[in-house]
Amino acid sequence: MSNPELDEMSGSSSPKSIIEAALFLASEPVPESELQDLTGLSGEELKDVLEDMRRDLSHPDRGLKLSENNGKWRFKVKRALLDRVKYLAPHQDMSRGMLRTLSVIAYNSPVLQKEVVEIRGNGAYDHIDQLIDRNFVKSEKEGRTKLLSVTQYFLDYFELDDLGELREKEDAPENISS
Amino acid sequence: MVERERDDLGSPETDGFGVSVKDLSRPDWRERLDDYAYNEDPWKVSVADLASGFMREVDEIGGKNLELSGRMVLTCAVLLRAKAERLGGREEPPEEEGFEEEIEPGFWGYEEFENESYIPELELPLKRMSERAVTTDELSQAFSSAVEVYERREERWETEEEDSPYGWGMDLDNEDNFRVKLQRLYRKVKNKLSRGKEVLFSTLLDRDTKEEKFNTFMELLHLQSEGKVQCKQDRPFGEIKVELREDEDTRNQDSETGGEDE
Repeated sequence: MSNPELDEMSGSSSPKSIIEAALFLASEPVPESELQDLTGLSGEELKDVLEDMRRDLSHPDRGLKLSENNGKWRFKVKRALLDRVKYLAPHQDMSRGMLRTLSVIAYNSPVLQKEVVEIRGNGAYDHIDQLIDRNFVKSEKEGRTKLLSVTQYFLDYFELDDLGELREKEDAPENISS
Repeated sequence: MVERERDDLGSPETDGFGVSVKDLSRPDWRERLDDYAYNEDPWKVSVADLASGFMREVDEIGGKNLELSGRMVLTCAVLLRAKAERLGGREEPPEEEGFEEEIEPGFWGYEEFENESYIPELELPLKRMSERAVTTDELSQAFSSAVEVYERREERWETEEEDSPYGWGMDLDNEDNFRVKLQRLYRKVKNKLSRGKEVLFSTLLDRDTKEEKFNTFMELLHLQSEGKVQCKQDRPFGEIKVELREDEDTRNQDSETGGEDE
């Protein structure tokens, strides 16, 4: 019969265990390059291990999922469980101001940057840069301003099929234009 | 006199053994207390008498000696403990000799702690910073808050604009009003120039606000374009100096000697 404490003391250091430890501990998503440094795996080998972990976690008995964005990996709580346990982690992974700016873009997407700034103030420029950096928002040049819209990653993050789903929610607020 | 005698009850001076309140003020009070409590018979000291003596002493000094009070409490506690131990006979049982020798070194796992130079290293548990994904409900609430903040701000701006006679801009819709402001500023420049060759822009401001600076500067530019004043700035972002144009200066002197004011 295995003893969990003895197992822990034996110092298991398989690539999978290292990745798991790193992703559990990191406060920010971990880049693939860093996971490669930690495990000594090649890019292909790392992808195989990550896919393997992803398969393990996809089992309905598991509460976490492995999420990738722009080559950075992190553990997340499965969305179906999030409402039940979210009070245990009161801090969201984005600031309140940035979330408000994202919401303005999401509910009005596509929307001109100058309209977002008009609503949210000058601080919105920084939020928009960070949201683009985190792949929630994309921008296209539109005259002297930019046209902002949400990305596929945004939909994946909120587990939405399309923006209509967000706007049709029972208690959805009206968008700015209305 | 009677009181002093009672105070000395149990003191070394009266019966050759014991602790008195006076002893508590001595520098070696702790050593003496340990002596009485553990090397002699603590039952020879009357805690009740000691406490009574302390109360009288406190009355005399007006209850202001906290150090003495602290020592008194500790003394009573030590003595009572020593008395209790003496009564109960709770002394450490003698260790079984030879028992340790039969055990292999390292059996107990704490031998390293016996080395005085050993300082165990504290390991703080590594904790994950708990952050989680945002839910769609929170996104929706964030949007409501953003709209609410925007509407509140708009409302505030509207109110401020209505309330303030010095709104942003030049009020060009009301040309008469603007001309009045220009004349007022021009008069101000002239008044200040009576005390020097040039006027500093900052001295023309009624209030130190962005709106006031903007409006005053716009009015000055108008006066300059009309050829009434000349604005100078020695270095970028430096103080703006305002002086009257020479021809205007002459015209002013004319007006002072009967010429028509603007």
